[in-house]
Amino acid sequence: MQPEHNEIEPERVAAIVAAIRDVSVPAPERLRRTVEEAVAQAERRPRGSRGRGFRAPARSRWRVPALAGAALGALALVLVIGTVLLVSDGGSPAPPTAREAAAVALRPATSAAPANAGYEALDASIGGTRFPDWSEGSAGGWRASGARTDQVAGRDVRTVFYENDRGARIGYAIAAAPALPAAGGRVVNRGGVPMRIYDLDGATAVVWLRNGQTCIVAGRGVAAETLLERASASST
Amino acid sequence: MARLDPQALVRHLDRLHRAAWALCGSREEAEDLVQETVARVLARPRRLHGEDELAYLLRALRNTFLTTLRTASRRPREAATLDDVAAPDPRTGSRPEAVLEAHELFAAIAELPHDFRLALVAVDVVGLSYREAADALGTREATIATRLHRARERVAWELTNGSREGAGSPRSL
Repeated sequence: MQPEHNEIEPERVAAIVAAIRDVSVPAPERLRRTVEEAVAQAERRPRGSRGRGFRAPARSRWRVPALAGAALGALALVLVIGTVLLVSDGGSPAPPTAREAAAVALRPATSAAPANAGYEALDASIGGTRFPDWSEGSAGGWRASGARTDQVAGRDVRTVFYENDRGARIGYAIAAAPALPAAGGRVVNRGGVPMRIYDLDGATAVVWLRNGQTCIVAGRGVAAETLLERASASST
Repeated sequence: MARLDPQALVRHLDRLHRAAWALCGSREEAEDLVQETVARVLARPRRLHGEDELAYLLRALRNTFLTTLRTASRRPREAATLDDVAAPDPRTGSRPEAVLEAHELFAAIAELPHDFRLALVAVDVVGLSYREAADALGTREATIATRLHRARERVAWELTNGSREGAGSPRSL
């Protein structure tokens, strides 16, 4: 850090302060789950008792699958996506459209990738629908690289991100049931499953249904055919 | 005397995590710091001596940070990843051009001397008033104002001229 900084304009300082105050990065989901569990443990202890009822796990231990599969806690993440915030005062939010939810799959990851759970599935799911493991087998080459959880117009949407050796990135989002309304785009049929293709400002998204839940794969600079292949590989 | 509701840790987790990140300069170390703070706070019932619960938690975070500083400083810094990108919050109508990545901002804050860093974290990252910050950090409001002023200038200088000096134009805000 340089000691001479008198030449910094007040407007520049004000802009930096505004940027700091605007940072809205949420705590990682795994940290949230750990803290929620610790608080729950503390609240179960008899009143007035002392003791270190919660042992903070070492960060490295969080990488093991056992904790990656911990029960989903209440999600307090409230990142709102662009124009999706449609909640009226005191009312229920209107369901997001599939196109709106697809925007989530293009955002940055906010937590670590879920662990492999075997049987070509990751240790992550929403409503019982698991995310696929595309790192091996016929769908090989796409490693899970991160994850995020959002609420889009009141609906939980969980996303796992995958990357291949060439640096291409795909977001795979699954919205909590029921299925989101979908319209527009281009519809193709793969293996008997209708899939809708959207162009999202230069990115591409493919939307289809698994177990009655809306699933989305999306990426920038990724061919629609590649996204259709990924969707087809986990269409049931 | 009011008792600290343990759920306050959950309610303020996002802010505590951001504060820890700015203190440590590393998102991974921030997670460790928050966990350790949670463990200490939950070890026994806590009473709020007339202070706001967020201010109390910041003080706990600061105490834990100072206690564990030596250990934390020995850890190697990890490179920033895509996870560290700050998303502008559309709810605030915030300036779309004001997009600096969180890891850059917090890394610059983490380079500040401790007292400056704590003042800036308390006010600009956590959102406490000068008075609350002074109470939480055990100093006077005037001291907070002075440290905050200098901390902001140093961070602005660093982000404008520091690591990017010679690498082209200053970061656009």
